[in-house]
Amino acid sequence: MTNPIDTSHIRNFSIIAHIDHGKSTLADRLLQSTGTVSERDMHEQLLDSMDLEREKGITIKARAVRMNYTANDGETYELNLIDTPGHVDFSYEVSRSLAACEGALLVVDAAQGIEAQTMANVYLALEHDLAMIAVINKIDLPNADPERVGKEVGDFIGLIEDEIIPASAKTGAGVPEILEAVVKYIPAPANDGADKPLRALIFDSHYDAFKGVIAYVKIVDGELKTDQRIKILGTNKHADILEIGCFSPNMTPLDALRTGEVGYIATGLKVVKDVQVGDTITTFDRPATSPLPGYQPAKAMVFAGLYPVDSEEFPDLRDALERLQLNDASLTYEAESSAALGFGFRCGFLGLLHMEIIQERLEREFDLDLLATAPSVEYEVLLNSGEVKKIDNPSDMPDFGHISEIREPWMHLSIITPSRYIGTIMDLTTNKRAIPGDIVYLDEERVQLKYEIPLAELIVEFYDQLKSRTQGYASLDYSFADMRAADLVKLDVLVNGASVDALSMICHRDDAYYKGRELVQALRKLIPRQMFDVPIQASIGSRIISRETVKAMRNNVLAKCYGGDVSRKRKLLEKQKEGKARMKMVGSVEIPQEAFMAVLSLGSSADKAEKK
Amino acid sequence: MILAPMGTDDPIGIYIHVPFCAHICPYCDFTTYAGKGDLIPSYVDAVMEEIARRAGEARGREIATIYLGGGTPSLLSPEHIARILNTIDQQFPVLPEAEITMEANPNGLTPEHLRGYRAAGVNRLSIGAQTLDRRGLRTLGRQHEAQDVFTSVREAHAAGFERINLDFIFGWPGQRRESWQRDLQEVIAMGDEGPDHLSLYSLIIEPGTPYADAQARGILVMPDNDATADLYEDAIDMLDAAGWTHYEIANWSRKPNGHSRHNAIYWQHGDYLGIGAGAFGTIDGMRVMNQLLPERYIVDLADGRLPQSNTEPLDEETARGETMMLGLRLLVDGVDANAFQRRHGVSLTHHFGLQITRMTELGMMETTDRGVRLTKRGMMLANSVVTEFL
Repeated sequence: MTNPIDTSHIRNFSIIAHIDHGKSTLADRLLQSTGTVSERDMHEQLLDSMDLEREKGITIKARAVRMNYTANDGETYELNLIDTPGHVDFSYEVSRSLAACEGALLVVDAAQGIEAQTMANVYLALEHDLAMIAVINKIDLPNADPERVGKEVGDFIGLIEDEIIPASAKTGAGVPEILEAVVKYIPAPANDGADKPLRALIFDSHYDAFKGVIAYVKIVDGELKTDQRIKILGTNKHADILEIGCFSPNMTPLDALRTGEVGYIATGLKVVKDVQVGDTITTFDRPATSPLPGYQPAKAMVFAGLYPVDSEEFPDLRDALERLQLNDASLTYEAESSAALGFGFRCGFLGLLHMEIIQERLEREFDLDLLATAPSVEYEVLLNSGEVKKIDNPSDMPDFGHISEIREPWMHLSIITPSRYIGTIMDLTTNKRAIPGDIVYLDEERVQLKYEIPLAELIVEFYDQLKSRTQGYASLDYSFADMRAADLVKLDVLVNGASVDALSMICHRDDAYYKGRELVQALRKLIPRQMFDVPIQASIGSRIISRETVKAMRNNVLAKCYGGDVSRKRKLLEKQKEGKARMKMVGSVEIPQEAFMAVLSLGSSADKAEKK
Repeated sequence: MILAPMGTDDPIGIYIHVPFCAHICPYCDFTTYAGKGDLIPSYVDAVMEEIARRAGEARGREIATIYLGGGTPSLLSPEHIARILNTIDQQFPVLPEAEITMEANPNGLTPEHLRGYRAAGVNRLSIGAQTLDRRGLRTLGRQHEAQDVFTSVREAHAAGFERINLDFIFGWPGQRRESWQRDLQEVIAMGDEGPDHLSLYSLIIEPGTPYADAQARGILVMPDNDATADLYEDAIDMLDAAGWTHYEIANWSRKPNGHSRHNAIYWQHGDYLGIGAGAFGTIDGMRVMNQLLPERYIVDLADGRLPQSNTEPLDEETARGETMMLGLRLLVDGVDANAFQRRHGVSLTHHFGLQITRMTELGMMETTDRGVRLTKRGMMLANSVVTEFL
């Protein structure tokens, strides 16, 4: 056990970056340079331990690693690197991680320059009053232009030359300079609360099968020792500490965590919901009276139904969701049933990426075959009676005769793009009901466009459309603005005369006609020909606004079947039958899984139609 | 009348496979080999040996039909055929009116050979015409001309064959509807001079064939499902108008009771012995598959082993499904409720009541005074109907 380090020798910092700008690689390199991880144990992107993170190149869970670094002044410093998720869906988690820091390394790609998330992260860092050091990364790339990007950083973020370091996380160039700059420019944590009652900020957590929920904390006031009983202020949960320690990078037990330090607390609690990001931990014996500022319980923004393809897997799906929720406070789920799809769960997610990740983890880690309905946002519905209902499933929408107003969530949206794409982006945002705001030229070529946009428009194809229209150059960031009244209608789909609840959607009245038409056309292509004609209709209330027909199959017969064929032909037909079993029977019509996601592809085809 | 399913003590059929061809057609995935003609004499000996070894499997049941299929059985000489049929006669109680069919290619069938086969006991001929369209014959890789088809039919009649089937393939790449209608017209116009039975198959691309490869490479473009449906419906309509009976999905007969009795045994879910390399048999609830390679087949029998490579016991559930899968192919007679009860020990309408009701409501099936059968719509979509019962 080494002597406790003086608070003045602690540096807590994050690395913030736009996706793909090299945050994880830089983190790896810092761990290596400080000897926290030996060459031998080094494997790429060490901090991203989930398979999915590595595959998608994003960091889902924040991590906090302690490094000991002997600086050029001969002193040894304790550097705590708090890694943050790099996607807009997780911006609240990012903000809590930043709240645990005094400084941030802002990584900017030396070729790409500043992107929307870079700016969003800069604003977040400024909000938390963090010292910033810019790392102009990837200077080894042939198209790198560190000077131009450095100037951009100086102009828009206001950093001085010493705080801008050209580097290559890949080759290790600039890494010693970065470590020195961390010591020099990032302030030590405040020490004035050392004698106060304990207040520890939870900036992340994970569930461990043996130790319960592990809270990742920064000690803001006071000191924490192993034998204490703790209390979590927001959720009002109590726990006996099983273990405290730090990550270096594996969990290393310690006797105490002192003011300014970053580490973990093994709480023994069973669900991460009890230990939410942003909440405050104090001691039971000498509790702090007020929580640390900024705590918001996790809030789902995007909702979708998840249904097992095989209805017998329903209990497995529930178990799997329960297990995932242990580790993910923002995931919500509640059993629901659909006339078309049977029993499933209405799940709430932070955003589309979060939804995608959860669905993939369910399928991959729990071996489930899932069907997801099109995502929806949560509407506030003001009834004539004055009652306000929250509706996140189109099929739960009350009869329109009882509704006096529907409000939908609007977002602040920021897009950074090369200026040549302004036209096509305006085109896209106009189609998506966005209200334009400021346009800020970052340099001669790049511009930041600000909008307000309904979240419902943002979650359907917006990101893909933006990427394809700008060849991947534009980036976006968004945050919740407010709830606004809108002229919305419920679009229903009837297949063979029966309404299919899982295909209902809420949309703007002006869009309803073409969305209905696009939807039935998409469904006509997705639903295979059956033994009979299958009419597909879109309706608003009792009014049919569009109709298509899947013509009956004409010919499905095995030409020959003789003695030598019987077993083979039987197996062939049995296989056809298995193929059918993967479809959902809605009435007497077999509907393939893709059909339930047809709503998602509407945006793109609508754009195509308008271009013609 | 064709009563399906058959009973477990009813007469059986014998299928004999001749896995030799002068040339392999590019769409064919049957067990057959080109360039192995030298094996024929020892192969015939092996077939005779297998017949003797399997005689006990029939438990004394009578032989109603014998079918020599291929491959190209007409590569065997009349003497070879005679030896095989004599062996069967010695080993089994063959019914006096047994149907004995042999497949043949239109080319290389001499009047002398035809007389020889007839004399050996063959009383029905199945000729692989495939198409009468010149371009079609080339597309299908056939080695004969349309004229050979007419000649062989005429000479077969002259040799004493009263029962002649012609095989046709429709829906081949590039086939025009007019060409198909002309083929049908020509066959119909032959009247009594022509075949008394037709088998019309829509072309199926089987994996592993040169056709499958060509299709994957985009060289062969198959007509779409609707176009093939048009051709099928043309055949149904034209043959119906000419008085032919469409008694099975792919088979028509010109005379009352002119159906292929051997093939009917398959559709009646009856028992049959499979003899020869690559042959299948089904008897007493066991499906048997023979060794594919003729060389190994010959060696197995020479070494005193049964040449089988695989057996599949059919459980009762599977058997009931197969009864429907096969029996519903019989468009006139369908599946007989009493026969079903006798064969499977359960009532057809109880066991498959739900499926029958659903398919009847959809207009796919109909109930007759004897049982159930497909409607015309159901026939076109037989796969969709049959999967309900599997």
